[in-house]
Amino acid sequence: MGGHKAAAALIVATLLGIVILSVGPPLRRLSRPDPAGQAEQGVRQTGAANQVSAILFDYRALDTLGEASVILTAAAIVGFFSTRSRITMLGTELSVIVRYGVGLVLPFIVLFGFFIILFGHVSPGGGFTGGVVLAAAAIVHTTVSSRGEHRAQLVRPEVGKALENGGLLLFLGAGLAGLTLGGSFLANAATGIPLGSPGALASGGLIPFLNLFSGLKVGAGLALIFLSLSRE
Amino acid sequence: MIAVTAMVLVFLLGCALYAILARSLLGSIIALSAFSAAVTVVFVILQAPDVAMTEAVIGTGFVTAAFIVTLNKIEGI
Repeated sequence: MGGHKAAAALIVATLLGIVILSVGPPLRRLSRPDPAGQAEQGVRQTGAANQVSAILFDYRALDTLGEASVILTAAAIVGFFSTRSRITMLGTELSVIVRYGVGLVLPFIVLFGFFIILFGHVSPGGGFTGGVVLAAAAIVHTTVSSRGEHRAQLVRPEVGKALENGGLLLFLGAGLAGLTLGGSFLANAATGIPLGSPGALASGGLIPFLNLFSGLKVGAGLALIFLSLSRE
Repeated sequence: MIAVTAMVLVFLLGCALYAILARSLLGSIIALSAFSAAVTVVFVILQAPDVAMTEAVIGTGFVTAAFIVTLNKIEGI
């Protein structure tokens, strides 16, 4: 059995390697450094120095809204199926060092999450990544701060649900503001919002707000999914 | 640079093979987590810091936590 699995894994790895090696040269031809100056054009149009965030929250903000609602749906369904209210986990006897060390590190994790969210339009990062960091803080806190079967929670589930729903509603509200002011759903520069100078914290128009809303939403959603899983 | 990339890719392949072949499910999960960490390095080498951060946080953090809780629930640990 083990031999068959190893052989199958080796064959799959070899085939994948052949595919990647044959795809590599055309990809390298594609990755020439921006001949048409599209990055500068994007910075001028959106005011965001980080063009990945500009694409996620300006040009393709509707896709981001779709992803956010996928997470909302997943969290709602997982919460619907987990009905027990008490969190139990087997065999988690943690040492004193882990318990108190996490307590020391936790504020910095939360701070880092908010840093990634709020500077998402300037430096690498954004709402999704920072939101998952916040969710990781909640997960670590839930996992570690256990006394028997009773677990403290960083944020109460009601607050988490309010954050998740409120984040998505605020995201939609920002989109509707674009519809009334600028003509299209989730419009950014066309609404007349000052874009600021690219690279400053107050730049990018609507993008930092959308980052914040989606960050809170994703963080609360993933934390709720984890809590529901550990409750079941 | 090429040497570093080759080392990371070999580590990646080792982690992937171990995740498939390990006898214990916990070992597979940890190997998957190490795989995500190595993929993060690959993304940084390919100059995609946004994707690297997302991969580090989701692949190494959230997915590992979710898998371990699931394994805990089915009394695999």
